[in-house]
Amino acid sequence: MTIEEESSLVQRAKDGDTSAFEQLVIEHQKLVYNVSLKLTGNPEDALDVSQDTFIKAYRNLSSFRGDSRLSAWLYRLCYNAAMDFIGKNRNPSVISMTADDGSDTQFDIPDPSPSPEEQAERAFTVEAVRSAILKLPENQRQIIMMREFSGLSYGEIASELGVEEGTVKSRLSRARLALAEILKKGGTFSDCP
Amino acid sequence: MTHCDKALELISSYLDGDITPSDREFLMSHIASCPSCAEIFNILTGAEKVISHMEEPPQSLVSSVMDEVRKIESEKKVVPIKRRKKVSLRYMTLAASAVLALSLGMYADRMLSSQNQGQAAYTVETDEILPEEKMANPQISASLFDADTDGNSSEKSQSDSAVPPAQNSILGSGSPTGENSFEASLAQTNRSDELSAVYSRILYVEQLPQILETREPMTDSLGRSYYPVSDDDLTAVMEYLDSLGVTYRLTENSSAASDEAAVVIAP
Repeated sequence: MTIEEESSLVQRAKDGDTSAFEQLVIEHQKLVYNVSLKLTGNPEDALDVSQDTFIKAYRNLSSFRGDSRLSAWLYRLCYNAAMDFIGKNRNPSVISMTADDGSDTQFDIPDPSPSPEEQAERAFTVEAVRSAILKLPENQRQIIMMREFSGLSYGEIASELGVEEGTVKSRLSRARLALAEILKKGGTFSDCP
Repeated sequence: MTHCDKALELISSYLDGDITPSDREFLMSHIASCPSCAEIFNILTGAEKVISHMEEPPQSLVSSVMDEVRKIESEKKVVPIKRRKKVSLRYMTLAASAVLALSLGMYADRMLSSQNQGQAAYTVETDEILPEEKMANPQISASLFDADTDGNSSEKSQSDSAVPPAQNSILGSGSPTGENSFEASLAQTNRSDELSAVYSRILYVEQLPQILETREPMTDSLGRSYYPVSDDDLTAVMEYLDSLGVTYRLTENSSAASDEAAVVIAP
């Protein structure tokens, strides 16, 4: 979707065209869902946060002036919604499923991958990275997530933050090194090749 | 700068695919001979794979969002909002000034009488016509958002909003310690809180202004409700609070990520 197409859809949505808003949801659902998932660590919670984000976006669309990309605006809404959710729900929910024998059994659903061993290892490292990100100071967490998910370039992030592009790069570097230290202390990647 | 310092800096550039060939060669050569930097490199490349991996969202996401959107729209139709008469901003300002002058006179009388009787000076008596009740008049309160401004008025309001007062007059309802506890709450607020990183102007108020009651609030990590607002809305909220004599604080954050504004309820 081009910027012009997106601007047109945004304006139509502001004017009350729900089908236009639906097109925007379809276009950005992957971004919003994955920001939510990276922070909540749980598909069910990520779905709740994603829904909440899009509803807030719909209700507050009039405040989006188009000065920045819609993806950047949605990223901010989603990030705030996810952090709010985490703050309210200290224990992430576990998906309940009915086992084959009909009994209610609680499962933690890890990310899918080719083999069970890789699946277990991947789930552990996904959770470790998520946990490490949440342990970062707010400004460091923000810049890593912003770089990864807002769709903004270094220059655009610099404009958003009102700093030089070089400052963005150095802050991002420091944030990543801080993340590495947290992960190193956790022992998660000690066996990485 | 040591080789390790340089290598650690280059890892971030490497992860973003924004590294020159010579820097890449330096980095690879260094981590081949430095176990400590090699460990950091492996950790961050592994973490990057996890962070950048994108899952497909569930198919129910779009449909569930749109179901809620249609519900919101249907609720709007059930309770139609009557368009209110537009009122000139100058008239509104004049009316608000008159209300403020009237309430100042009433407040002064109450202060003198209560001081003479040794009573608290800040109790609001419900059988009197209060500024809040006056501002409930649709012709005045609604015009805060519907005001039809000519070029001069809009320029004046824009210039005012560009240099807003940090704190308005004290007059208002509540206990004598109400303002102090609000100020104390603000003083405890982290000056570099997450909202100041996002919004270039933040208006902190103790209670939800009536004109924002129909808005959907958001909640920050401190549990505070806040409302993203446009520049015009922010100006209107401040004028509304000024007319009521309610204390607020406006902060400007030059390093914020956006030019947007927000109203924060900070009791």
